[in-house]
Formats: sequence, C-alpha cells, structure tokens
Amino acid sequence: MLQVLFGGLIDGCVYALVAVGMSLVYSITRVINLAQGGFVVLAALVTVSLQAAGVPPLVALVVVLVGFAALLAGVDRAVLRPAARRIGNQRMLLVTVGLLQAISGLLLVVWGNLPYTGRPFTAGRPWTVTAGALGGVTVQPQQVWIVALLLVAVLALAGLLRYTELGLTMRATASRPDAARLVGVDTDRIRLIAFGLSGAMAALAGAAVVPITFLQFDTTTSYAVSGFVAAVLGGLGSIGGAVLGGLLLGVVEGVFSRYTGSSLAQVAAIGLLIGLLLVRPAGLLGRAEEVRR
Amino acid sequence: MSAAPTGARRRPLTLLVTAAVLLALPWLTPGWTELLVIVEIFLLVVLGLDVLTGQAGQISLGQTLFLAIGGYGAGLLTVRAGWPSWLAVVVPALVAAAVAAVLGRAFLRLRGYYLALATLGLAVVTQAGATGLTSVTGGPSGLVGVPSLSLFGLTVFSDRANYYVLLVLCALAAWFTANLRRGQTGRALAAVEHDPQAAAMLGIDPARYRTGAFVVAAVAASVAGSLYAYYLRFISPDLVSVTVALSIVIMLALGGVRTVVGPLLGVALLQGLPLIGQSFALWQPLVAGLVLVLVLTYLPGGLWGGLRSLIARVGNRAAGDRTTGDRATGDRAETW
Amino acid sequence: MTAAADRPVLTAAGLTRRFGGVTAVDRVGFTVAPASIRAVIGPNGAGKTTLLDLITGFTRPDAGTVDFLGHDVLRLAPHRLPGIGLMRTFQSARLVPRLTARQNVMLGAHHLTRAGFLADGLRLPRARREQRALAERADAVLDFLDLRRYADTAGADLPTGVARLLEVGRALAGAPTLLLLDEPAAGLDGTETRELAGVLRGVAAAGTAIVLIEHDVELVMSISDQVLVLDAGAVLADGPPAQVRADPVVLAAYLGSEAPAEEAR
Repeated sequence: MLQVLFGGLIDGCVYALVAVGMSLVYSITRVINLAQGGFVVLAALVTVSLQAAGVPPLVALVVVLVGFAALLAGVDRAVLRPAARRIGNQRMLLVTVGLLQAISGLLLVVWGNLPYTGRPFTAGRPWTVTAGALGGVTVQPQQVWIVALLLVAVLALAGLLRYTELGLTMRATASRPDAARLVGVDTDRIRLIAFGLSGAMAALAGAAVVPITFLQFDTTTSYAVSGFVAAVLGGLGSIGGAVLGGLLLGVVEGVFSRYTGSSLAQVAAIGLLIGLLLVRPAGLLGRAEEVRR
Repeated sequence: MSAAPTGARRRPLTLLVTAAVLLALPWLTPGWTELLVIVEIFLLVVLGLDVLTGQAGQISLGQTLFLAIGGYGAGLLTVRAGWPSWLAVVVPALVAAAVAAVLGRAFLRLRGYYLALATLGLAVVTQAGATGLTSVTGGPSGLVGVPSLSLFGLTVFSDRANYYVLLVLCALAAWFTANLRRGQTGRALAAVEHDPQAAAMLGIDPARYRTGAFVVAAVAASVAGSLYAYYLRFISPDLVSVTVALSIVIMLALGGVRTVVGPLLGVALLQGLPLIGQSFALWQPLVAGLVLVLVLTYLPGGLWGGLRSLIARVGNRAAGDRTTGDRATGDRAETW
Repeated sequence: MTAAADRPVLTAAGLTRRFGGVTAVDRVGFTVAPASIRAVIGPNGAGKTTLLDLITGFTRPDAGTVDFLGHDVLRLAPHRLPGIGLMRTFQSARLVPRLTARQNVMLGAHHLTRAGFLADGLRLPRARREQRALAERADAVLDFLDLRRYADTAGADLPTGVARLLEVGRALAGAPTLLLLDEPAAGLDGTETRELAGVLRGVAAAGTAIVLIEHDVELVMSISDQVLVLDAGAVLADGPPAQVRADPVVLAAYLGSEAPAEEAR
C-alpha cells in the first residue's frame, strides 16, 4: 500500500507542476490554459529526441527548460494575446482546447502514434526504504529528481513572488489587473513572464516524468484535465493550492488504482475531486467570491 | 420580427429547395449516408446545446452524460427488459430531463470556469461509469445486441432509413429551438445571459430559465444517444468519452451559435474532416486544432457567421437574422 | 391600479444594512404615496443604491421592514416583484445588446406572460397570442417615448440617451404600480433630461408611483412631490422640494457643495 501511495505522490508531483503553471497563468490572465497539458508531453518528447541525439539528460533538461519558457511566451504573444483581446474568457477556454488539440496533432505528425520513454537524469539503482510494519517502498532515483525539481521550482517561484520587485508587481497584477494597468504596469510584459514561467514548469514536468513512464501524442488530454482539476481544487490562482491539489489528485489516483485499472482510476479520482469541488467550490486555498454569481 | 421584404419572399422558396435537397441527399451522395446519419445524431445534440450555450450563455462540457443516459438507457431497456424501442427512447429522455432539472439548480449558479469544471466532471464520471460499471454497462467493450429502432411496425435498419428518421427529428429540433429563440423564452434567455440581476427585475427567474435550457439540451442529447445506440446496434464508453464531450462544444463554437446552419457546419466539419483521406488522417488533429483556434479568435459568429458576413459584403445587403443585433459588437461582455 | 387614495404604496421603516464596519443604510424609513414622485438624493456613498438593493431583495437588511401594497417585500425573491407591481432599473444601462429596442421593451412585460419553454417551442396559440400582445404593448411604449424609429435597432447600437430612456420604457411596459429608478438621467444632456422629466411626470400622472435616485438636483426639484435626503446612510430630511431645499441642515451637508457642480453641467 505504501508503494502505491508513494507512486501516487510522484504522479502528484507532476500534476502539481502542471497545475502550478496553469494557476500562475490564470492569476495574471484569468484564463485557464488547458494547452499546458500538451506542452508537458511536447517537452517530454523533445527531451527524448534530444537524448536520442546524444545529449546528456541533464543538459537536455536545461535546454528544454529554457526553450519552453521562450516557447510559451511566444505562444502567448502570437496566439493567446490576440485572442484575449477579441473574445471573452469562456471562448478563451475553447481556444486553449484548440491549442491543445493542435499540439497533439503536432506530436502525431512529428513523433507518430508510438509511446516514448526517456533515460533517467542520473544513473543509479533503485533502493528500498522500509517502514517496519507498513511495508517497504522502492524508490527510483528519477523519482527523487521529480520531487526535488518540484521543491526547487515551487520554492524558487515563491521566492520570486515574495521577495523580488518583479514578484510584487506580478502579485499586484494578479489581484487587480485593471488597477495595475492604470498604475502603469506593463501587463503585457508580466503576461509574458508568467507564461515563460509556466513553460518552465511544463518543461520540468515533461522532462522529469518521461524516464519513468510512457508518453505519446494523446496523453495530452489526460494531463490537461488533471492539471485543470488540481489547479481548481487547490483554488485558482493559488500556487500553494495548486501543489496541494496536484499531490492530492495523484495520491487519490494511486489509491484507486489498487482496486481498478489505471485509466479508470484516473477518471474516478478526477470525478471524486470534482465532486468535492461542488461541496467547496472555491477549492482548498481559494476565495469564495470568485465562484458564485 | 420584421425581416426585409425580400427575405420574407425568399424564405418559403429557400425552405422548399433545402427540403428537396435534404430529402434527395442519400441519392445525391451515395456511400456517404453513414456519415450523414452520424452528422444528424450530433446535430441533434448540438442544436440542444445551443439553447443552453448560445442562448443562455452557459457552457456544458458534460453533455455526454445525457448521451449516455439515452444510449445506455435505450440499450438496456430493449436488450435486458425487452421494452418496445420507442418507449426506450422516451423514458430515458424523461430521466435525462429530471437529472438536468436537479443538476441545473446546483450547477448553473456557478461562474465561468467552475461551471466548466463541474460539467467536465459530469463527462469524466460518465466515462468512468460506462467503463467501470461492467455488470450494468458491459464495461469497456460496451453493450452489444441493441436492436434497431422499430417504428409503426417497421424496422429502421438501413443507413437510409436511419437518415430519414433522424432528418425528421433534426427538423423538429431545429424548428423547436428556432421558435424558442424567436419567442419570449429566447428573449428571456438573452436577458439572463446578459445580466441576471436586471432580468430578475423584469420578473425573469434566472435559475428557472437556465435550468430550462439545460433540460432542453439534456433531452436532445438523450434522444440522440438512444438513436445512436439503435443505429450502431451497440454502445460503448468510447462513444461517451471526455473527448466526445469536448468535441460537442467545439462543434457548436466552430459553426456558430444561435442558428441552425452553424451547428450543421460545425458538426459536418468535425465529423467529416477525418474521412478526407488516409494520408490526411495524420495531419487531421493538427489542422483541426489550428482551425478551431483561428475561427474562435477571428470569427466571433463561427464559420456560419463568417460566411454570412462574407455573403453580405459580396451581396451588399445587411446580414439578416431575426435578432438583428446578432453580430460582433466589440462588446467584450458578449459571451459567445 | 391605485391603492386607496391615502394609503402609501410603499412604507419602509428602520432599514439598516451594515457591511463590515460601515453602516451603509442607517434606520431609513419613508413612504411613497400612490401616483407620486419621491426623489432620493444625497452625496455619493450615501447609501442610495443600497437602499434600492434592500427593497428589491438583492441584499438582506440587518433590520427594518418594507411593506408594498400589503406585501412583506423582504421575504420575496427579486424576480417575484414585477408580478406584484414593483419594478426597478439600474445605474448602468442594462438593455440586452443583442436584442432590438422593441425586443428589449417586450421583456418588460414578461411577468404578464405565462407561456414557457414548451409553449414557445411548439408555437402554441397561447404563445403566439402573447407574442402579438407583447409586440403591440412594446410599440405603444415606444410611441409614448417617441422612440419608435429605434424599434429595430440593436441594443448595442443605441445612443446612450435613447438607451437610458428605453430602460425606463422597458419597466413601463410591465405596468408597475411603483417604479424604482436608479440615476436615470446619468449620461443624458440637457435636452434629454428635460424629455425624461416630461416622461416621468406623465408616468406618475397615469398612476404609477416613482422613487427616483438622482444627482441632477434641478430635475429632482422640478418633478418630485417628496424628497428624501440621505447622508452617510441616514435620513437627513424628508419633505416637499421647497422645504428640503431651504433646510439649513441639508444645505450645509449636501446642496451647498453640490449646487455649483450642477450649474457647471
């Protein structure tokens, strides 16, 4: 059982990274970028290709990190911002769905419909941790990487938001976008930075998870939905909430998978958590005024 | 509402020609009848959804719940309980209406993304239920042996027969939803969409109207689901997956809201595109995604709205629909 | 349509609403006589809109009662009010942009209809009859306001003055006994304001009482029968225009500082 919980926790870390990216973008733009799920898989497959071309895994990670930060900023500039200027938020959700679909399509064209996996960042044998009567847990080095990267990312982000001037500007823009604009904040630049950061999150998630699982062109929807649920569960706009939401989703999924197949487990976990949301719509750390009319 | 005189004179003629073409379609396009049937099934769903989304401005990412109620309901009632097929369409539709009435009260108070998520939850639970409740739904392999629809003693088995039955249903749905739109109900829905508080002060209960729209959408989806099961003589979780739920909303947004042709275009495009050719199949998702992004961004009235503007500019007369304000006004509060 | 001649259509007593530490409405009470025009004036933030929100059920009072034609209005949901004769407009124009002026006005009489989804969807005779009646009534209102030429213009395309007037017209289509108007003259120029004054006088003469929140002091003084002055949520004065205008307390708190701003318009 402990092994299952641990596995779920690791999955949860990945969901957390996706959700953090989504929540961050939401807080600045009030748009949920479902395409984030697509960028995760794209980052994963790019990592695999880089590794196949001989690039060491850790170098590939850095390349993908920087590349996707730039990519997401570019996507905002070229696709999302023009759309946001013209249409309301409900249609924007569908635009991101279209974007998600397009990314899946791109993955299909370039990488085909085969599943891919990658090499771990550091070579090493898995080791076992025993917890007495609770049983043992086998930990793979890559899983440690995932947890470490999540921690580093979240701490860095939190540090940025709390202790830097840029972070202060971002938080101000997030809470009152109209006021921020009036005060002279270059909200377009803040948007780009938010998207860039979310691109980095997507890159981390994809590159870190592909060594321990198989990903392919249609895994995008699953990450998109999971990220969405986790972000809303944690309270839209709350980074800490997104982390909590992601971890919770992963663990619940893990528990369910003990009793059912893995795809049903995922779907059941999502269903359960959405049910929870109906009870507390603002999510774990969210604000209630945002929710009801 | 006053249509331009030319419009009023042309209407009966256009309707007649359209009816003739639709009736002759299976002969005009042999080999495509199967696609036509699928298009009609989804058109029924999307026309219903248009009342909720296009008129009342509420998103529902979970219409597959009602599709499943209709499809699995009809399947189970005919296969396991031996009910007559027409009854097995009506009863699940009533169940769908009841479910929508209850869920509507709870959900339709939620704003924007939270409503999207809640309805997405319905889609997810539907897929999970259809896959997991194996003893009831047949699990991942679905329910087989569903009989064909039988009407007035005749079995609706062939593609053509199904085409005509569904043609009647789609025509009824188009007529019903257009009547709603042109009537006081449509105006009330427009008021609720724009400003629920102001609508309340006009005596319109926003909850009641939103729920009513939801019920219409649910019944349409349920009937479509039942006919889908009868046509395929089979129903499975793949037919009510989350992907299908999303594609339903996409078809509506792509084609354009508050019209009949809009949904038709959207459904035809999304269902027809994959069939263009084997070599195209690889590029289809990419192209479809890009088309969706472009249409949503640059064509607020959907493909049909864009076409009408084009025709208007070419023909140099005012683009006419009964509700004259139905075009991009630059007002960002416009939901769809 | 009118109650017994002396009995007020609306009696509010002790209405209080607090938001956190701020008392937005402080023990406000007043009456509205049938077919009269009662103005509510006061500086920004004096609680005028909140008062309307309390009466129409958009927010619950912490204390107080409101009696409208014998109904305890505080127990009723907002959408029930038009059915008993109470209608309201808002500070910002809330006409539906994608409907025409005529269609918007048809909405005003919605509470007089009974056709629902099925009747409209199936175009039952009852629904068709109601449609015709609604359209006729709407045209009558448009004629009364001399705005018939805008009948087929989309709400989004109407000039501000016309839109504000139409909002009043939309409420009129519902044949209310009492009409609550929140700053109907906002955004109107001098001519339009005079038109509005004429319309309101006509409406009251025809038997509908009006409660009017306004900043335009001239408009208020010229058409009101009774004026209620609010400041910081509390009643400062309550009486006929001439009396209120001369009240030193009111002059000190409000009119004195407002009048120059009004003249500058």
